[in-house]
Amino acid sequence: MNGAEIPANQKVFIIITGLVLLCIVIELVRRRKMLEQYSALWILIGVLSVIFVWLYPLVEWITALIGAGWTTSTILFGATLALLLLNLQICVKISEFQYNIKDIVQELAMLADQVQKMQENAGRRNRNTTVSGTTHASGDPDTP
Amino acid sequence: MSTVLIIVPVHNEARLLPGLLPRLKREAKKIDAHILAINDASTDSSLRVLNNHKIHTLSHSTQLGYGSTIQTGYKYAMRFGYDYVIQLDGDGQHDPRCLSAFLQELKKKESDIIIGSRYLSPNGYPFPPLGPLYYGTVVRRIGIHLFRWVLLVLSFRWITDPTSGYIGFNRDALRFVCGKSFPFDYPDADAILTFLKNGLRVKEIPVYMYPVQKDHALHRGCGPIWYVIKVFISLFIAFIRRRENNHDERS
Repeated sequence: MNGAEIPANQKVFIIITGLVLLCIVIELVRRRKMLEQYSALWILIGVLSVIFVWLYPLVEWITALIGAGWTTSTILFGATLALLLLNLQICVKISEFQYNIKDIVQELAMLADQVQKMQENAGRRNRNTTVSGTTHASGDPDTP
Repeated sequence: MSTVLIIVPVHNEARLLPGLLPRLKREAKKIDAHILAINDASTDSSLRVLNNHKIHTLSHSTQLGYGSTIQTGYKYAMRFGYDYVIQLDGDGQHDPRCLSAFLQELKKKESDIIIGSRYLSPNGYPFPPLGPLYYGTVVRRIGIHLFRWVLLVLSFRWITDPTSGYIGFNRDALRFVCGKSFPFDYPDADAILTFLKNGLRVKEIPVYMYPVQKDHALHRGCGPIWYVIKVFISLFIAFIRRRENNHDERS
């Protein structure tokens, strides 16, 4: 649709879609189902989709700048780029979680081991007390 | 209190552990070393076998993989003050009689990391191998040969067995491998490159390695090919990574 205006019904459809997306994202953040840091890109996509409808000459300018044949190609490229960036953000976050989970599981294994040792030591002290009938000073079985 | 810790990563090795553990305990006693097994959420009776042989075991609540498992051992060694750590696989591939050779080299204080190489000639050993030695499948040997050359180009060091899991560390090296720089997803030739890039002194000694029958994803089908590709990617990433500072604070 190079050089021509977008039909009115298309404009309305794009604007409504962009606004609905914005509302969904804002609601998810409000209900704490999505963290603010992940909403930034989604909000940008929603806002840009509304802006580009009204500033169609801007889309045409970008099309000429990047050498795309059609404005629809530009829009498709922009959408693909947005999805790639979202994926990248998720991959970075997943990697961070993997580091954290590893550290937690390792720490948990060592703590469980220490707890087991403490329980075994406590059990041994109880058995020593039971066998002798008297309570010894802590850790010193030779103390009368 | 012993200053040497032997780390054995274990994941579903119930069938192979009974062949290793008595020998390991005997050799550990000779060098006054403690043994620590790290059970990476095994689903078979590995934990029961370890308990039956009275091996001190840490257990992961969920499977983390080989690299994270051995790192748990490193962190334990750092936390509880061990001076030396020697890791060997829980499948019996690595001959425990070579443990004293690792400790001997580490105590010379000429190297931070000692790698056991199956490709070096063990002429100095007072004991012969227990059976036929294992040098890897054809694909693996081709991969190892490629890794040697890539490591040589990237680090100017010829490492004969860059995929060996039979490795000894001193405390300086331990401090490094407990940090974020350690490639915990699956440490291999890229781990060696990371060590060399960060100034750790690496030396190889000959060891005996034996074939074991294991059903591992990396050993069947396209597994070996994927393994080689993965290591090349990891080598490239290790080469372009910045040198880390977390091993510079030496005691």
